[in-house]
Amino acid sequence: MRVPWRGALPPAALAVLVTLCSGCGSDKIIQPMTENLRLMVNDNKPNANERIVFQRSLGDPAKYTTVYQAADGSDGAFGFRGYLDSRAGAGTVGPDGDPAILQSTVFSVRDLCALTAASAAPGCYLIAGAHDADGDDASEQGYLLLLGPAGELVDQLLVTSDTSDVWLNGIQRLDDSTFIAFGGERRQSVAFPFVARAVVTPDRHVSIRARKTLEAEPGKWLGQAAIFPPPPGENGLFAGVKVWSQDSGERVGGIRATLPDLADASLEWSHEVVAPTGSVASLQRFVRVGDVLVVVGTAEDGRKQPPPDDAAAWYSGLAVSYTRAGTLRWLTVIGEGDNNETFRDVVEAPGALLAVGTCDNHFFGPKDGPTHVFGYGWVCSIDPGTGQVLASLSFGQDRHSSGFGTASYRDGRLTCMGWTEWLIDGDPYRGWFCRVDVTDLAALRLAGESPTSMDRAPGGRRDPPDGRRTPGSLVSQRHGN
Amino acid sequence: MFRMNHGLQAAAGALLAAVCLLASVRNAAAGGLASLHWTLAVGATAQPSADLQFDALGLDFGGALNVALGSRYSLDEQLDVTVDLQIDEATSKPRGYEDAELTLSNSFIGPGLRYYPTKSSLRPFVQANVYYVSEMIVLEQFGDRKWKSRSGAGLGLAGGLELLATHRFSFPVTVQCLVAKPADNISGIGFNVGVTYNFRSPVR
Repeated sequence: MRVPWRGALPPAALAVLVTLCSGCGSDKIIQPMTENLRLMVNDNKPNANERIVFQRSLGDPAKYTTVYQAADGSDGAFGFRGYLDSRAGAGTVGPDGDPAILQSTVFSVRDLCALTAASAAPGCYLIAGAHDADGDDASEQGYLLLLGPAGELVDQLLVTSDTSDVWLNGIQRLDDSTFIAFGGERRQSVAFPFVARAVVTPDRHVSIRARKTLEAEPGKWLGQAAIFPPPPGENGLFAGVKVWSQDSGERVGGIRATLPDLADASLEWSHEVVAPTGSVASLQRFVRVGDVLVVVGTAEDGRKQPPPDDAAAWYSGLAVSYTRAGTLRWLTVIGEGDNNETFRDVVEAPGALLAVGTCDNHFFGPKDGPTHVFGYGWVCSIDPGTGQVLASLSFGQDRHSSGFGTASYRDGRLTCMGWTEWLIDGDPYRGWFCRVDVTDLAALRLAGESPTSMDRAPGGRRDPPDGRRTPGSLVSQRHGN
Repeated sequence: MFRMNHGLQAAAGALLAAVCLLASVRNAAAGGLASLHWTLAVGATAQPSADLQFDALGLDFGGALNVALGSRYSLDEQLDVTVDLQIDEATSKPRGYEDAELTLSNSFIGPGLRYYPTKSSLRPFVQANVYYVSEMIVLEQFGDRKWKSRSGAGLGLAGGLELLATHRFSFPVTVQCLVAKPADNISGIGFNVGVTYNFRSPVR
């Protein structure tokens, strides 16, 4: 039988051999291509990482974790509110940041405080919050939640009214087992300040024993507060408190009431905070220091020029102090760099106030590329008598954004919590538990040293021709209603 | 220039082999036995070479998507001449550069011979190809795109089963080994499943 294709096989086989003998390459191309990878880094560098004595990242790297606020527990641990692995709520974290346990809540957690070792529920935390039940961006229900030492739900109390909306924004300890909650009550679309006295009973239940709506103050409601001990000879309640006004935004005020029934509760004074550098963006934390009130937050800073393309101004940290009677003692706007700065918490240390937050916070990236997020955890030492800046310390990495949301001072160590490892806008970030050495900050004050400025690269910030730099995100501007 | 010469040699060899085999097809067609078949297949290829793993960056091109397009011409009921195009593509993101992505695309094109030892409706086969191979790496970051490619020769060995479902359609399942090192060692073992359109039933 004739097989016509057999004759073509020898030249085909020869061609195969020619092909195979054409050699194999030896110069690789993948590894050299990886050398073209570019890092986007912050030109400004942190100046105090050597002070970090311990740090730990919290949560799953693929999810969102951050600590907005923490409370010093009686057992060395901390209670906190924030996000853990993309779940919102309140929880506990161990003395060294582990374990972190979060209780998801149906309501928005607004404030928390720790119960003392002498209380009816040592190791527990009392959480205050508000719930927007109908999705209209205004709260209708208040919550008090008792959280156990292991982050477990011990008790929960719904604070409501049959004829109005009630919600809670702040909680402060009056004595070991008695607490004052601050918030608002809305009657026919008009809000009023609301205060309540809550107790934790020996069987670890929460109950409201007195409540008062300040009907003489329409259009206002209350937020975080700081309780003062009563003046000699008096037995009432006095608190410096954040006051929201429907007309003029956030204010600082003073509440006075008789105890235990909160009768005659009144708003004794309230002031708008006026910063010389621009409008005040937010008041974040109220703390009593001795017999004065200290408030920290964020203010526009017109000294940082030019302003960003897509916002009115850059922001700086704001610290302000009032007497118990509402007299302004000092006000300081602290802008260490030419990007965004904000204070989120302040604690008292020997000889100094330590305000914590974020510095050098900004977004940066090519026009058509991803938006990188930069920023550092910030600790600013402030003279409690004058508001003068004593030292400015920044912590973190130049590759991503970090920040502190809260801090606690013990024995020369400042335990800060917040977020870290946030690279790209919209991407996940992890929680940050960071303990820093601040033993010599008071010494800096005594020696009269000038504030530590942030290290700057020669020539300042690097802006590629096609790049953009925009303000980084501040903490959410919650209206507290 | 040296690399380009290797690529040209490989292309020339593959082209020569294709011309020789097509010449034989022409003769076979004159004998009335020829039948044309087109196959589209998708699958996966494991590329275990250390050239494709970068632990420090978290880069791994070890698993690739395989897409194959082939044309076969039956010389008789048991022997086909083939021309095949295969593309293996793997994408990986470097750790620490979350906004960067590297894509490795390996293209194989070349002639081959397929042999069917039986004439049943479930037909096992073996196949050998010689390939002109192109390796291309693409880096995308911050909206920029950089690429680099090298070409060379390669060899393919395959085996599988083809199920004749109808006179017109059959379904091949193929396991194959591709050997090539145009720059990095991109050799791999993979499989694909496909569908073949037969202009005339391959078994009479």
